[in-house]
Amino acid sequence: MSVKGINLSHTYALHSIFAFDALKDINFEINDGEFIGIIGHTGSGKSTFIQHLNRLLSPTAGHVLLDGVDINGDGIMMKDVVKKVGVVFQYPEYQLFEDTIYKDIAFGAKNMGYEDIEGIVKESMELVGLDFEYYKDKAPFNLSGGQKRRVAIAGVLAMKPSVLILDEPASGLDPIGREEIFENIKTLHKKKNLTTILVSHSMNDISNIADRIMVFNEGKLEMFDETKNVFNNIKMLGNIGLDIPESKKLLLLLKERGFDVDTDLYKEDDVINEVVRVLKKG
Amino acid sequence: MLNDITIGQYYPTGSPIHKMDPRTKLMMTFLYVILLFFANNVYSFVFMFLLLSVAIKVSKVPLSYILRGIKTIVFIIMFTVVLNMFMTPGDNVLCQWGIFKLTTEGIYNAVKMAIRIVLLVCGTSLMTLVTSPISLTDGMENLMGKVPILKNYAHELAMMMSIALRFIPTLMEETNRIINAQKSRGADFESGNLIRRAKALIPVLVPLFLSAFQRAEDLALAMEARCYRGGENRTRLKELKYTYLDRYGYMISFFMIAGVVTLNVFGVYLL
Repeated sequence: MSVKGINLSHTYALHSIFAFDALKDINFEINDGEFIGIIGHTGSGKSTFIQHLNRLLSPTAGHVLLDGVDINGDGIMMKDVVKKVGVVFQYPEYQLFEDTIYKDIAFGAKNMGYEDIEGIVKESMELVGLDFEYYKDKAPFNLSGGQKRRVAIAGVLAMKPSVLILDEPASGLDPIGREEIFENIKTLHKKKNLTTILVSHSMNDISNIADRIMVFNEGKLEMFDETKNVFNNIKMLGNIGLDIPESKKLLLLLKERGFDVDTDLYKEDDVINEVVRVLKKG
Repeated sequence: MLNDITIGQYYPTGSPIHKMDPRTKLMMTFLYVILLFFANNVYSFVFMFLLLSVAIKVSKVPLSYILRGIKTIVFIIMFTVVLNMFMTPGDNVLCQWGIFKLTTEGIYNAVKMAIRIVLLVCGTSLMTLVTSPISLTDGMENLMGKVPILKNYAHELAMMMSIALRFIPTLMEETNRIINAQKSRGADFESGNLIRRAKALIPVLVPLFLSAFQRAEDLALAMEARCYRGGENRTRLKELKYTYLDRYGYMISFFMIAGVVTLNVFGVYLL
């Protein structure tokens, strides 16, 4: 499903002394099945932006289009929008409330009016790597942080969205938990051809999976381009206080010391291959 | 719906009322509320209304902010008005159904009560809007320390209040976050009858209570880790101090008392 924004602006507390422009005239187009990364400082407008994509917030000016249809248009219900755009918020484990994992994951699916709830819950749990029989009757509050988070993500997947938005899905998890979550997200994107939008502070995580990157700064969309081009624009990133992935830093350092490496690369695997190639040659 | 809560909302404009000592503001509000219940005729009510209008004007707080507090209690006002209208005993009966009598005294009482509640809510909202929560509790602690029965608990009570006030915005933010998450999962808070709507709140209340208890425990641990132990021998960074503004404040207080008493007594002759 494609997502498009036209002149999107949002002002909090309009008409008061607390008025604050959180988004300023944002135009973008995300294609069906793309993997988009969003980077930017705290308070740059990322969270406000993603809340517009499933109508939790309505723009003070401009439009958001899903497959060409304005989600704030007449006759469009909130339910129609959240069915298509699933959002996993930061620390999603805080949204768990039922006494069993099965019931909690089924909550969204039931709200959407789906039939065969059990089949959907089972599928969602498998997608995030939770064993259905073992976990379905357990209480969600007794799980570890990483597992709670996977239950929460399964709860969003159970609504069968075509666009999946994840806000810092790995924050606060240990390294193994992080890796597992990102593996899940990668397979999800491939298997279901989900249009995926990932918000993250970690350039390393983003660089490994995103096709294109949106850079937010002070409510403006500073840059929206292919991952390679964004990370080649080191000066702009530095100006707004963002970094480049460690893998790319390594290549730049090698280049400085006189090695003939291709500094356009940024994915971990590609960088490893490149370093091996140069070392073998040298 | 959450944005209508005005308690603990501070609206800084830097007006002379903002700069007053919190004790003065508390005393004046207290006095204002008492006088509202003493006022018994049109003239004294107009006097009370004018006093509040001038205070709002001087404070530079937008009227919409003050009126927002009324929106949440419209139901209570209506309830009081209806109850007063039909339950006041009187001689001049306009119409009657069983034990319910509509009398001229009843109507008079109902109108008086409605004006009192509106002025009371506006007056107290104004006080919280012009006083930051911290200075408000400082003022309360100081005043409570002068009352014999409350003296020993003054600090604890004030600490509880300042913690409660401090956590209103935090918990409101948390509530908004949970509401957003559940809305994204298709939860519907706006349609259906009362029972359905109450049930729809479960997905919000369960996580909210869980995190509130967690926060309370964390805070208690943090306070204990820093050897917190009540009010004895504690010094403060900002000592409360009266200034010339407070002298005016207390002068206005006497003017309020004198005004209401005079108008109450002589209002009869003016009518």
